Amino acid sequence: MSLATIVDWGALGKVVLYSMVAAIGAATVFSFAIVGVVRFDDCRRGARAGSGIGWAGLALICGLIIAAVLVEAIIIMASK
Amino acid sequence: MHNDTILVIVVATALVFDYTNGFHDTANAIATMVSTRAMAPRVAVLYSAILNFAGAFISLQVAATVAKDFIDPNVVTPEIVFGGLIGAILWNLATWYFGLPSSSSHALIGGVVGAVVVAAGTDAVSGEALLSKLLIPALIAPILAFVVAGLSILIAYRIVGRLKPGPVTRGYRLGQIVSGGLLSLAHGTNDAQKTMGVITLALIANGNLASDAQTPTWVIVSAAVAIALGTYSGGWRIIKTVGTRIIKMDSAQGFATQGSGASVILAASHFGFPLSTTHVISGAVMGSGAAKRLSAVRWGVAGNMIGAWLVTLPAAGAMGGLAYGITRIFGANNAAGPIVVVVLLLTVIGFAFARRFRQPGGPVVAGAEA
Repeated sequence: MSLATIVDWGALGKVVLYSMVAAIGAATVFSFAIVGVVRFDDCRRGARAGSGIGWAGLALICGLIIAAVLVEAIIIMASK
Repeated sequence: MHNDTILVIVVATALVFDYTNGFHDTANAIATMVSTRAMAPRVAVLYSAILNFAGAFISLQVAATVAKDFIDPNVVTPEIVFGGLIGAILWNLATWYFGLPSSSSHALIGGVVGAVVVAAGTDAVSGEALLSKLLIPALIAPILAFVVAGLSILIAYRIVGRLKPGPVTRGYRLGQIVSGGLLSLAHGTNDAQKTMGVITLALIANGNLASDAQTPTWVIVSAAVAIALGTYSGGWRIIKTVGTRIIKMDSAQGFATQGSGASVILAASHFGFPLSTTHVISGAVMGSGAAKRLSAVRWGVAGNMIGAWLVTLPAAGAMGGLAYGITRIFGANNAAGPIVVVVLLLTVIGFAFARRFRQPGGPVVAGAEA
């Protein structure tokens, strides 16, 4: 038997793809959440209400995405 | 033929292995948190211990044993399980002694496979399963974690690059606490269940449980307690290696490392590949360091670790086979064999601790390295 038939390369490929999407996605979204919080704080200190709401919205949306990813991760652990 | 003395020794040995597993693998979840000061060392090990304990109860779909895919289950006896556990414990202690992060799961599989080879020959071991489910994924996992962590940190630096460093550091430290918690939970779910599986296998082999029986509650609780206590004890020597000796990391790198590690482990778990948490996290640490600057990684330390990974299976297998062989000198189903092996093991442990504590600088303790 060859390696091609012994190893489930399709499933391994999916592990690679899903890992990349999840890790890079989480790092990107969390970094944007930090940008949102820091910029909102800058706006609040400078009393610029309009753009502050936009940055707060960015932080909130990114926070919600991170929370959803955490819930999904716990579901994966519980259902294996 | 039943022998409850042997069974009691096997169960106790399995719980000792579970303790060393927690002790050895604490670094995977908290080393980066401690090195970037996201958490104080003692608080971090307590946090990780609680989540390891909780993780042991999240999924109770316990496999018959961690090694069941690799060996013929019909040849398994309590003495074989005992030999495998002794091999795994010895390897965990040896790698702890040298401060090397290595896989407790591979040590356990290696130990059991070694004992089976001595007991029933190589025909009772599935080489194909070892290759497809263990060796190939073990090669891919650290490389994948390396690449994913490297890309993650490059993107993170680009996004937050123009911000003031203070709030950014605080933000990523918060992220590390969350991702470290996720890793601890995943570790409790995966690794405590291996011990539950081993004890269940011994109970079945000894005739105390039917082959299709559920894992008893006392097994679940005792495995959860043992891994949590081991985690709380903290393998500070390995925490130092993972957290500070491979690279000097900042909080963004710590977050990228833990996030990438958790993603690879959960994706692999979802598709049924039993990856080593240790290999994944170590690969991610190197990746997040190399992406910033190749020379930031101490490649000599990384090389020692990879060397330890390569010899884990054969070394634990040899120790497991030897432990089983000594046990069998006293005859089948005779408790004298396991008792002699336990006495030898305790002697080796006592010698290792005494030698380590006599060395200049003494033992590595919590907080001293943070």
